[in-house]
Amino acid sequence: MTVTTETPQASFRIDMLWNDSRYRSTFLQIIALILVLLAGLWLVDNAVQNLAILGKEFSFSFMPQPSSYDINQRLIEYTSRSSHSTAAVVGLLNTLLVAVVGCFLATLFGVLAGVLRLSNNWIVSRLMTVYIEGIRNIPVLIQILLLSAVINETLPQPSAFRGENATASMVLGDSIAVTNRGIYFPMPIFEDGSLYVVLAFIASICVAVWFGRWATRRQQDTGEHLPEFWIQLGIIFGLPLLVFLAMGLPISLEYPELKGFNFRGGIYARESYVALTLALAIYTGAFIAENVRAGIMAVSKGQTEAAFALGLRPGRTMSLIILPQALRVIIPPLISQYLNLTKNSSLALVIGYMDATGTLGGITLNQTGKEMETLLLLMAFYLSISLSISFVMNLYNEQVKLVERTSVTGGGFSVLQLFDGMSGPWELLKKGDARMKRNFGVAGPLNLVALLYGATFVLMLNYVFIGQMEGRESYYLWSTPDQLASLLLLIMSGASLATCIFKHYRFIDLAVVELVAFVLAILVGLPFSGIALGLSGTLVVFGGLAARLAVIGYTVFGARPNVTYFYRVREGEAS
Amino acid sequence: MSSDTSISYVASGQIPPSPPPAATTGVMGWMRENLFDGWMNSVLTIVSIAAIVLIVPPIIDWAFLRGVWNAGSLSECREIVAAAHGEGVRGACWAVINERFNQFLFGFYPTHLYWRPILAFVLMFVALAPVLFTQVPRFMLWFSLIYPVVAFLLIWGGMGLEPVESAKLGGFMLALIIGTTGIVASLPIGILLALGRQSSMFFIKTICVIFIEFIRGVPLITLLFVASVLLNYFLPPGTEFDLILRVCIMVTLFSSAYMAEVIRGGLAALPQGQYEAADALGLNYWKSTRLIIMPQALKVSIPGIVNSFIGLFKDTTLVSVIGLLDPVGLLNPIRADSNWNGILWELYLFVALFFFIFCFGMSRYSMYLERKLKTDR
Repeated sequence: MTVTTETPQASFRIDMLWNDSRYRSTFLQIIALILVLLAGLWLVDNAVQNLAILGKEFSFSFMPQPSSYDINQRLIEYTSRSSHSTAAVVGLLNTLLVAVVGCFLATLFGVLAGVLRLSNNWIVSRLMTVYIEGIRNIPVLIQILLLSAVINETLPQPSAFRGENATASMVLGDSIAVTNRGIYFPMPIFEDGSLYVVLAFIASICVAVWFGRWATRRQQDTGEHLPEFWIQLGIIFGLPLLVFLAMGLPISLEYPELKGFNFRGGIYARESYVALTLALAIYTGAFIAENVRAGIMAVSKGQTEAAFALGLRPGRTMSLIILPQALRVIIPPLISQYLNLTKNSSLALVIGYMDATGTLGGITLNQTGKEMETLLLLMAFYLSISLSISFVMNLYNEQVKLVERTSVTGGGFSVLQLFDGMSGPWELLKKGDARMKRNFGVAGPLNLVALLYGATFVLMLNYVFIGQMEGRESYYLWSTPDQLASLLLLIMSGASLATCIFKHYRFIDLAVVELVAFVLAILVGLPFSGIALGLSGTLVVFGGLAARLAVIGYTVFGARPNVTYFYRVREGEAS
Repeated sequence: MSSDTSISYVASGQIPPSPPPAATTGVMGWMRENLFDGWMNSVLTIVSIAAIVLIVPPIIDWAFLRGVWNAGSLSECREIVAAAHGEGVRGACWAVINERFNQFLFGFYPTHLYWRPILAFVLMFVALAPVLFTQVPRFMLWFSLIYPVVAFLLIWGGMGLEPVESAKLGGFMLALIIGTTGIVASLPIGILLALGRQSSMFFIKTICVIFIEFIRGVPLITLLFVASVLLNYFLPPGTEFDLILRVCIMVTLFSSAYMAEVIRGGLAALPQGQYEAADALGLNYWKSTRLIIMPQALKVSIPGIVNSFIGLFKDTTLVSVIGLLDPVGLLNPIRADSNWNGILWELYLFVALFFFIFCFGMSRYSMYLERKLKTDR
């Protein structure tokens, strides 16, 4: 006997909005949205009023104007007559320089300290504990200031290298001069014929990579193991060396020499740069050491024992069994340490190293009084670095993640849920996609689009930030909506570039959002605000539009996404 | 059988166990195992011992044996060292710390009012005690609740107490004010953000994600710039807003984004079954969060929470960049003083030591808490 209960058709009452779970979440979200919009409006309104009171205008028009200040370290051409935007780019490049070199050194220090801390040598592990605990618990700002002061006040001046009874001398066979103004390294000079050496070097790397694959395949087929590493090393250095000798030593080193009050020639690493990079590397290295230690300890001892039981020697146990498992634990925090290092490099300001914070957020801000604009750009810069680094991290996590029990409650919203139930031509396209995917996830036709996109991106970057194009003022007035639109376009085309290159299902949402944003940007008025476009502008806008549509078309229709992805419990993101 | 014992080549008793070789026991054995296990380890040991011998004794000499505690200037210090230990010998000049000690502690706070921040500092421990240690009586929590108001009144004055300007605050007091405000306020905001990010409501989730990712994506220094030059733009015209308060707000927001990520990690580490069990018991969202989810998630994320506290406390030094006189901000004026021009290590070491003590203490406390809360295994 079945009992059916008649559910009474309750009429809608107002209190159901917060008592009935069917309406509650929508109701709350609408309230939240309204509140956020009101708060945003309030802030914008205040800002507009305040700007009006101060007689300021929100405009990036100062960017193409001459900066009239000097930057002591520059990777691209820059004089005090260059524009504020060029100054900003010089600063950005300086930031990136510190970040890249700092990350490299920090990894070196960190891995060394982390491994040594686990060593069974009592005294070494204690020493490393002192280093790690000591450095981790002292603010990095103090370390930067201290290192900079130490370099300034305790290292010899260049004049100490002069004369018969010089109090200081260059190290490593008179090639490197360590002074209180910085470090001078020898610089390679490329003469005629050096091109072949460089080509040989590139070719030898390709050969080494190919050899590595071949050796792996051979080992899998026959079980024979070759001393891969040494052969690869031989290929990489042997071939260029042969060419180098055959071409008659076309590359020579230019040594720094003391001339007048200072050293000339060679590569000059400024003292503020050395202090900042080294301090950041030491500081971040201590954190990385802890990550490395945690990663190695996370691999259970049974793994080592099992490897030994299989007859693997300790070295191969480490490289084949322990490291691949430890790396899965180590890499995500390692990358976020890189991120921290990059963000901490903004402390360059305190020792006078001209990074992005020093140029854009420092002198440009003070000279022009455009606090809002410069800080917005500065934040956008750091934000884009951070987001791209965490993007790489997510890709890595995806690859190494252990597949877990799936659950339907987790996960997020995706436009693609709409396409979930469809079948038919999708299958065919999916197969095609899988075939193409082998080369770094970039499907064949997409290579072209990616190329187009790369070009567009560079062009736009140039257009918005550096390019002092002829007759720019005439067609491009740099009023606020224009600037916002072009910045938006820039960010969007960067996003599409990522979409193309990494063509990952996650980015399809991005692509759709991007399309909307693009339409908005056009509506806001960029190309059609009544002013005729130049040729480059037309190319940028329409080339970008075409490429964008192609990408979106391909990502949305070219490959049916694996929707279960969105519901997977994301274990890798837990930490 | 027993007759066999007469045979001379058969042992009649058991031979006593011989002691292990001298090289595997005692000090020698320990050293062999821990210091000279293979040539690689031996080299490392010798290098480390050489490094310690080269570095540590000179530092002890410099800092303690030849340190000068009472002097009026750096040159006086050097004279004292030269008189006691000979010409050209260097010794630490701790006299600068001695002379500027009050400044390091309180900045330019009026001298006759020093008792107020000291009292606030002592009361801070009284307020913290019931939160940190469960043995302390529970009614003390009420005091913890009103402590922020009390501390504000004590430090800035008001309600009958002589008011003190913000510009006069400085030194370790300022670092502690900003640090504790950030720490205390960021935890609840961080919890809310983490819950919002886990929420199934699309808009709320999006808002939280944007906030968290934005804050985590930019360096604190840019946010401090925003606090010092930009925040006034976003407030109604004519609003005057204390710089320290603005900095506190920014530091809190900054820290809460990191806190949210740490707590989200804890939430994600909970097995799905815990949520399902809470639902099955019929608890509503807030009840299940408060009674089932949060206690477990917070426990898992304690090391991360304390780590971000430590990070926040270290980051308070950044306020010197926007001109506040925290300990790091005081260093340059002191080094520019003609009496102390050229002093270097002593100042930095002193400030570093202060931060080290606090941060190291916090990390030890987190280890204690981890052990205490470990209920499984």
